Amino acid sequence: MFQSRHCRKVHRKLSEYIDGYLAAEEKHRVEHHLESCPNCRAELESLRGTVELLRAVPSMVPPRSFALAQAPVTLRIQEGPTPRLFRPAILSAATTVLALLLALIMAGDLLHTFEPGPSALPSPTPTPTVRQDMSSASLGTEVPPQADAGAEKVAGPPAAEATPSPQPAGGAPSAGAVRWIEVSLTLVVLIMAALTVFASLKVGRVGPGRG
Amino acid sequence: MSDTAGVGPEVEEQQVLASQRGDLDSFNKLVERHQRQVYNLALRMLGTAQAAEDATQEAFFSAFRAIRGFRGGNFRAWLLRITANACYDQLRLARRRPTTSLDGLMADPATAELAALESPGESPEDRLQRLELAQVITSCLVRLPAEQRLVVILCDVQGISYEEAAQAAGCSLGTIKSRLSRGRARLRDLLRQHGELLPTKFVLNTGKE
Repeated sequence: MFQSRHCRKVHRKLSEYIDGYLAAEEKHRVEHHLESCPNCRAELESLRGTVELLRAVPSMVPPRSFALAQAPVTLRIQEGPTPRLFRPAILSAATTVLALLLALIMAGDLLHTFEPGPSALPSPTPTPTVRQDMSSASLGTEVPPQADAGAEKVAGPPAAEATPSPQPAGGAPSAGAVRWIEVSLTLVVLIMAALTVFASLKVGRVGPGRG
Repeated sequence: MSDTAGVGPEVEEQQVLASQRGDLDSFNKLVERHQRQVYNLALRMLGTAQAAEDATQEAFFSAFRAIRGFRGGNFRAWLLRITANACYDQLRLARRRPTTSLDGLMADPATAELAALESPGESPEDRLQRLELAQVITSCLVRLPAEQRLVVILCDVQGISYEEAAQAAGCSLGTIKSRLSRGRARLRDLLRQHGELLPTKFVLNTGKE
């Protein structure tokens, strides 16, 4: 059936016209057109009939109450990734910060393990003597202090002369074990932090925010 | 449609505030007041009583979890939006699951029993006719695009205003108007196709032949 452009424009307005949402001027324009257009009148009647049928659809009584019992709610919160009630995003952020701090502390501690610093020496000799020994050792071998642990194994006699006691060589396996424990602990903490961040990112899917 | 009779907005506001503090009893009062409207929205959106029940329960769980984020305003519209989201989730789930296909979900329109239709003073015959009407309408509704379906149910079946529907659907007033206009026209065409299924009392006035 042929429809003029004006008819199509009126058709688009009929729904609002039925609900009384048209502004006075527009309403008059539509009514003026309807008076002279039987097709648009028929369209209006059919839409009105549809709306009447929709309004006659009965409201059903729910088959049961949907009130939340304490147990299911607790269960859902435990099951669900995001118990909003307890502000998980904030908690997650706090946990992440703490985990990162812990990781930093452990990493710092880890670096300290490699240093044969004065604290590692059990010798009761005063500090100035040790400093003198260490400075002469580094002057003689020209090995940076960080590489001392490796230098001991490779350099042999000069390093042995330079070190005031054989303690570092004897303590090497235990330091290695400690290092591995610390490395694995750091990894565990980092993985936990990553998981917490991931969980906090998943917050907020539920709720009125979806468009 | 919600059972708001006798409960003013101040009371509801207090119950919302208490719910935000974690008071489950107050939240359950809100559930009791709105569950009929929520269930009926889900029923007309999804087409089956079972799916509607699941979506309704999920909507209230989600609402309880999210209520702290509710910043005042129209609580019913907020709740209906959560319900709409729960319905979309159900529809998505039905599309993904080969065993519960969308066709299967929709081939069983409005399985609500006669007992679910509370209508004091209505003759059994009239009750039956209204149920038949609900079944035909629901089977046509589920053939509309979900966004149009939601707006038609909110505005025409539940009779809420365009403004509230806009809040519930999370879109602009203009979008509500265009979705409603297109949804009604499409539903009219579907009802014309299935007009013979309508009970004699509810014949569609087609306006033309």
